[in-house]
Amino acid sequence: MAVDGLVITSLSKRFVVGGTPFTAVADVNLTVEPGEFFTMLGPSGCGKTTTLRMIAGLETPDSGAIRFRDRDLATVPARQRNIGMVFQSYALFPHLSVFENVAYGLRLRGVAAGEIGQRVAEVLDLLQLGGHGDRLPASLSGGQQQRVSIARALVYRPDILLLDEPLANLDAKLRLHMREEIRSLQRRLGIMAIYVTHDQEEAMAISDRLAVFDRGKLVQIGQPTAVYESPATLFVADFIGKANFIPVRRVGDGRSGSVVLPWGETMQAGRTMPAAPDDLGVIPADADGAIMVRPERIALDAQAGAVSGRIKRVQFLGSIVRYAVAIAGVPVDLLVERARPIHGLSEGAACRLGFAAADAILYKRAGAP
Amino acid sequence: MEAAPVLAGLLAVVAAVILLGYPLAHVLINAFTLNGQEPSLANLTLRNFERFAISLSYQRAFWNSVVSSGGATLLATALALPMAYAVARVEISWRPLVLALSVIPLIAPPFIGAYAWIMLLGNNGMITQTVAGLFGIKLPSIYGAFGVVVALALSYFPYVFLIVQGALAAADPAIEEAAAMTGASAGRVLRTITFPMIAPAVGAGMLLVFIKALGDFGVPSILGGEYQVLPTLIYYQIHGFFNLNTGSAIAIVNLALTVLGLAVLSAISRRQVATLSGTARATRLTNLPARSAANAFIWVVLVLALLPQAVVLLYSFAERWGDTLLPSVYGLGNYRSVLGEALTTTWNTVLLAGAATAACLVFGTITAYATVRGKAVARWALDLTIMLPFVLPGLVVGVAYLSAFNDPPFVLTGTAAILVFAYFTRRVAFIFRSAASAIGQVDSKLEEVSAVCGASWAETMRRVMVPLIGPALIAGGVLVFATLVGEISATVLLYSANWKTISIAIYELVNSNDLAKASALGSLCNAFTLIVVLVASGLLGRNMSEMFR
Repeated sequence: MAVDGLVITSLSKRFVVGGTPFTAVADVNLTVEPGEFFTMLGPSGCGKTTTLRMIAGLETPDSGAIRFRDRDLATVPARQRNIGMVFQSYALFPHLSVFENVAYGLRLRGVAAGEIGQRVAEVLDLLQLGGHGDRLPASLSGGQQQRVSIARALVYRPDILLLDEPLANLDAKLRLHMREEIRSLQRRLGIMAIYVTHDQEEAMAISDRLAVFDRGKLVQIGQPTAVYESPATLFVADFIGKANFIPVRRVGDGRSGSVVLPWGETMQAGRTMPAAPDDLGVIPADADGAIMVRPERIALDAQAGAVSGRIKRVQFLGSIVRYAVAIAGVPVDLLVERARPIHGLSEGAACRLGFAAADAILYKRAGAP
Repeated sequence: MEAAPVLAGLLAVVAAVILLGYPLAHVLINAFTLNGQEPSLANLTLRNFERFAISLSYQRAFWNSVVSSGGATLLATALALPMAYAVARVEISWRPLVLALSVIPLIAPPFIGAYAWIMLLGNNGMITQTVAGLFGIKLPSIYGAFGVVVALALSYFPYVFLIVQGALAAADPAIEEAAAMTGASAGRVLRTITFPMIAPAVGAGMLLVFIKALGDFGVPSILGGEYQVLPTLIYYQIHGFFNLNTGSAIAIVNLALTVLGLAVLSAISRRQVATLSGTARATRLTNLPARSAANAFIWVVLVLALLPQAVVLLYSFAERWGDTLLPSVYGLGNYRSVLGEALTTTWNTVLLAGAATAACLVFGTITAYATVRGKAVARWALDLTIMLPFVLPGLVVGVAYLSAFNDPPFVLTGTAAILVFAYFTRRVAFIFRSAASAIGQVDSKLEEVSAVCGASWAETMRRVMVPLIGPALIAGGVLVFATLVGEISATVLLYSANWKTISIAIYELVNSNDLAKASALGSLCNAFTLIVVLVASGLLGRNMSEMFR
């Protein structure tokens, strides 16, 4: 048992929206270790923010428990949890200066005036806000407001730092910069951080571990590489990175993982797992399952390869080139990503492609042979 | 920039000069000239103002105005603040109903409520008689400071309530949550975060009540008795002594007080902090003690505020009402006897208020456009000239128009036009404000797109701007119309026998102590305005309270 960490068991929360009940969080179980950077990831409305707000104490769970250092938080009000929180809108107190915004939590804790000055100055320096203490939040840029809200959450040395989509309101370049800063700050302070985002790239770049949410349920939890390499469901595969789904029919005794691809090729999929009930809509009714292949694992060439196709579209994205390829004779399109453009493969050109069986994961329909 | 908005700005300046500058100049000249003397440089005098130094009744009226308006403001705030917090932050029952009912005191003319207090607490009032009969106690008189303050506070508290409730609802709830996360208790959050955030809204609401109370004529004229305030003093100087000069001097003093209030108001509203957040999801207290306290407080205030209107309605159906608590015989007799008068005066009111509203809509929208989209240089000047009449006491407008439009070049006394112009001057700022905020929300790129597609300025207005701001304009227009139906403080000086309005007819009935007929006419007036507002809010799909913000 993780004694020092945060343990969430069977957490559920329902809301009533316009008279109809709606399950925001359904039976979520997870553990966050001390000093870990943990991310809850998913599309909007998946329950990640509600879970975060229940950890903060801003929402009351309908059932389930949240324990921190072996202490049940159910009866502890938000203000007594000693948690720091960074909001998407920053939620800076508009009538207080930067200094007073940051000092707020220290004043509540009865810290002596001299020490307040010192600690606020320290944390403002840490976030490169030195010299801005007298300004009002409205006169700061978005990035600066973001730093103030982080400073305010860190100054009283909370046990946990919660971040609710903190980068959503920043422009792309600043977003990349701030996420590196948040990560290095968290490493330096060794604080447990729980981060909520809908941006999968951000989640993979910043997290020790991440949890993927879908419609209130926790679908998969693990290190970014593990989740990317072995998505538990087609939803996760699709949400984390780019993915190709190819409907297949199974052959053989049903245990071997032998499948027939739409273009007639027989393949022994590298791994096999049952398709999640929610994924059945993605698999055509006449197929036994689907195999998933990442675009960068497909070989593309002008002459060599098992399958023939035609280039429908080429997207040059700088560090990679993305090809959309129509497979000859069957209604299947595949995405292929290469590090650099392949000579002779412009739009409309004929091509050959193929992938190793080890890179294919089979998601089989329940009840299929 | 097209020529059309510039032209509109010029038009606004011309209208401001004729309808505001010229009459106010007359008030100034009259105030510094003695009654019966020709206005000239040699005749300039301060004698009219001297009365404030030597006459006890002038001094009393001045301080009574300050004290009763201040008292009404404090009482209104004391009622409105807890109510606003309860509606915005507690999970109360029937929220839409509470919001709808809270608007009624603003729609119903305050003086109708004032004489209902006489029926309740006057010398022969229902409550007075009951208490005397049961306990043998004689209640303090409703006439005077007490009655005026209570009636004004209950009439105008919705301004503070609606503005503060709106500010609370618009504030990003994450700010209060952030305070709780750093460790602040609920009381501490309220004191150090919530209240400072809504303080500008509270200040704006309070000053609005103060300015409205300062200019109110109907309530003190009915409940004041011997207790004179500046507007009633003006009225008696002009109607009792036919002295336009002393009346003008008092009007200037009344105006000075109001402008002082406006100056504070604009200084405060400039400090308004931006806390708007589109996706904010309000968190509300759901525990039983909080809900019970909130519900109880809200309904006590609402019942108090609506009781006068209920009494008026009850009295309107009373055929005979002797010494009993409730009427002994009910019937439609009162309505039958005022029917003829009701029809003509309602028709007059609809014509006058309708014409003024239409003028406000056209003019207010165009000036708002010129102000919002125009060059910054002229903006503040336009803003000021159009905002000033918003706070001008009605009697000051009345005095100014009486002075200015009695002689050539503009002879309007006794016509419908003088009332329409006075109404227009008093209310155009309202349309201007709602149009300006609606136009401000329309991305100017939409107009650029329209122009790129080949539309002229007029076509862009017609096809893009007006459809987008239409609902705001209709809402504003309906409210202007509704508040004009009960207008009395300017009308009382400017109306003529041919153009008697429904509010004047009620006022005359109250003054001749014909309270039963006054109640019938008052109820008809209330019902008419309420129906207009209800139909409009139904058509627009908005809550009535949203229309007032």
